[in-house]
Formats: sequence, C-alpha cells, structure tokens
Amino acid sequence: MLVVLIGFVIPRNLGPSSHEWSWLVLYSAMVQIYAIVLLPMVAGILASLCCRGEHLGSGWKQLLALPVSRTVVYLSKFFYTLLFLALVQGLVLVAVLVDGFLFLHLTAPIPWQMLIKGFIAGWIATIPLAALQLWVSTWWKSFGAPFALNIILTIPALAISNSSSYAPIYPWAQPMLAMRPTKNGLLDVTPETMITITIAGITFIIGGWLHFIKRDV
Amino acid sequence: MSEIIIETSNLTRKYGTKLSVNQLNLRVPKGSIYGFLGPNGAGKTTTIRMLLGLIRPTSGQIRIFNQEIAKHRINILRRTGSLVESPSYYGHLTGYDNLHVVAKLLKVPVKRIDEVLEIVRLTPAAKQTVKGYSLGMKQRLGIATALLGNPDLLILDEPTNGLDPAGIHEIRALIKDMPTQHGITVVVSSHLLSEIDQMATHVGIIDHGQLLFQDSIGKLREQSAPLLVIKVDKPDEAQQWLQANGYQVIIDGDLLQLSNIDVETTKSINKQLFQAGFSVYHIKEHRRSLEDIFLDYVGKEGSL
Repeated sequence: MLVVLIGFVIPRNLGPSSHEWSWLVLYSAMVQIYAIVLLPMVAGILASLCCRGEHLGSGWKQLLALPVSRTVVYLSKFFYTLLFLALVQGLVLVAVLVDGFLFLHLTAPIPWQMLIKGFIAGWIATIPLAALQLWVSTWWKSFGAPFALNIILTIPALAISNSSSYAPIYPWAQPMLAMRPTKNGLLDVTPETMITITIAGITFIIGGWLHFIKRDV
Repeated sequence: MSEIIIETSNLTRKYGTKLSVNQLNLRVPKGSIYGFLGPNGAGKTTTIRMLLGLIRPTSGQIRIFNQEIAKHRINILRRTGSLVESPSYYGHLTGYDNLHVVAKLLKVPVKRIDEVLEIVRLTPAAKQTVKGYSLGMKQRLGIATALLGNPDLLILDEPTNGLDPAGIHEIRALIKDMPTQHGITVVVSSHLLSEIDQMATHVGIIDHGQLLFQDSIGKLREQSAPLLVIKVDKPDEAQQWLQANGYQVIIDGDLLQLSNIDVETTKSINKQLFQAGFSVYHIKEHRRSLEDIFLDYVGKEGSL
C-alpha cells in the first residue's frame, strides 16, 4: 500500500506532457526509487510475513510434526512470497497508469510492452532476494533481524547500481537494472544481469531449502 | 509382553559437547499411558522432538509402529498426534476453522472436526475465535488437533503446564480415556510425579539425559512398601542378633531398618528384642511416598 502511495507522490513535479516520451519519463521516475529501495524491502517483508505465524508460539513444531514434507512446506512459503510479490508489482503498475491518467493527464498511447516487460523482469530479478530473505526468515525467530539484513544489503545498491562494473553482479541492484528501461536482451536485461539472477537465485533457493529440511525445530 | 509401539535404542543427542539425551532405551507398550517423568531440563522435550522427527538424534535409533523414523517419518506422523508445548493458533479464526486448516493438511473428512470437538467438549465454543479462549480451552483445542487424524499414538509434552486445577483435571480425564475409549497409546511428559501417578500405567524417569527407571507404575509403587524403623540402645549388636534370627536388616545411623514387615512380625520382633536384653526406645512404620522414590532417583536437587 505504501509503495502505491509513494508512487503517486514522486513524479508530480516532472512536468506533464503529451509527448510520446512522457510515459517513459514517468515510469523511470517511479521505478527509480521503487525498484532500488522499496521492492527489495517489500520482498523481505513478505518473506518474513510468510513465516511469522510459525515463529509465534511453537508453530514450526506443530506444523512440522504433521505428516507433511518439509520440502513442500518450504516451497509453499516460497511460492506465496513470489505470488504476493507479483501482486505488489501489479499494484505498482496500476499506480503508474493511474498516475499518468488522473494526475498528469497523459494523452500519449500507453507503452504496454515496455511497462509489462519492466514489471515482469523486475519480479524475476527480485526472486534471488526473496529466496535469501525467506532463508533467513525461516531461520531467525525475530521479525527485525531479516529486515535489518535486508536494509544493510539494499543500501549499497543505491551506489552500486550506478557502477557499470559491479551493478550486474550485485543481487540487490538487479531489480533496478531489470526494471530500468533499456533496449537490451531478453526481457530488457543484460546477459550479466541474467546470469547473476540465475546463479544467486539457485544458490539462495537451494541453500535455504537444504537448511530448512536439515535443521532442528 | 504386549506389542511395543515406541522403541528407542541408545538414543543420544548432543548439543555441542553437552549430552542432552544419553543412551536412552524407551519401551512404550501398546495401549499404555506412558508417563515420561523428569525435572526441567532433564531431556524430556529433546526426546519428544526426536520422536516427532523435529530434530535428528546424534546417534541411536527410533522405531515407532515398528518402522524406522529416519526412513518412514511421514508414515509414522500420519498415525501420530502431538501437542508440543503450548500450541499456537490463528487467533482471528474460530476453533472450528483452526481445526479445518489442519484437517485439510491431514486430508481427513470435515465431520471428524465435530467428533474431536465433542471429545474435548469444545463444541459450544467451536464458533468463537481462539483469541477469546482460556488457556485450558486452547490446550483442549490442541488435543483436539492432535486427535484429528485418528492417531494410534498421542505424544503430549507437558499438556497441563500452566493450567488451573480444573483445567488439569479435565485434561487428565481426557488422557485417561484415550486407551480405553479410542484405543490410543499415549506418551505424556511431566515434571510432576503426582500428575503421572494419577494417570499413567507405565513410567519412565529421566534425569540428566539418562533413563533411571522404566516399568509399570505398579513396580514403582512396590518400592514404596513401608519400612520398619527401630531405635535401640546397641544398634550394631541388635542388627547382628536380628540377622542371626533370619531378618534382613540395614543399619542407618543408629536406626535399624527392616523391609516387608507386617504388624504381627513387628510385635514379635519387639518382644524378642526385649527378651534378648535390648532396650527398644522407638519403633515405627515409615512409608515412603512416590515423591521420595522419585527424589531418590533424580537426586535431591531435582526441581519439583
């Protein structure tokens, strides 16, 4: 919700225009702050929320003493984290459109392809982050610790995302790179970004899963 | 010997270098209420977590329903209901809905929910949200949850912890009914002997991770047979004299102790000692409570 609200506020001063670039300008401005700070944080918060019920009381014990496999439990948590993340992406997309129409009265045709590509790529680029956050969220009992870790790792992304040599290999800069409007490659990301997302994603998913099925409850 | 439901062999769990559970050999017979007794921190909960597959043993084996838990965890858990510590619920949902969530996971028919609510007598509160439940009601809902899957085995970790006397009484009555009415074997842990004494058929006493006693509660009670304590002027000589006359006598300070003595024998011992020239100052029957026996096992420092 907060994300959507901020989406409304930010681009107000960017000058309304019916120019064909105006959607791009609006989108870039909104995504600038959203993809680099808010999206990673939202990913972390969603992962934590998915584990919150179980951390209260003896929920993990109760759940895992039922005849369910731990793999299924972990993958369901991961699935729901990603599902809600997709929902948030959808809401932000709606926010961009609402902003464009209602507040800036843009008359240029909506660049659907760019917008949808951007949001899907952003969602995919957030998967590694979400995987890591789910890992630490299932591991640490506190709600705050995974959140703090998330912020600590997100802040450097502000600087790193401007560096052409480090940005493609820093997972927390990936949502930004993926959502930034460019003309490169599959779903608008560079091959380096794609490789980083894949490797980091697989590492964090497998790491979190193995840790979860082996650990003491 | 009846069928064994839970069997552990040399079950051991280390935390760092500390042995939390040490070479445990549990035998839980079918249809029993097995009281798992020990002071706080003795290793009860650790053992129960291993029985439920929540943690792995450092060494040793667990067989439940004659199946290895390391290999058949899901199969075993399908036939096992459990209540570990105070159960947590979705507070904003009703008791019925909380059970519904678990019923879906267990794939049991919805009408089973009404049955278990009836067993724990929560039917009137089924439509209330769990937020408004008392501790006793929550605990009963926990037992209802454990019963949902029609288990053959129920594992309850300190089910009466924190309850008031009425709540304790209710839970105890519920547990007592399990083997007779539902054919369920129950393992119930507690740090209170009186608790176990009132419901268990079998007892395992654990302290510092080791099993100190394991048998039927009757065997434990036998040890509480009364002792005859006699105070005489010359205890050493009196002991020798009594032993020469065929009595088993132990000497404790200046007191003589004889076990398995009835009233008639007491009379005749008193008379014989007097006739043999001993002065009997004091003669009394000393009955040891189960509490004393328990304390003997766990050492006096054990918390009760």
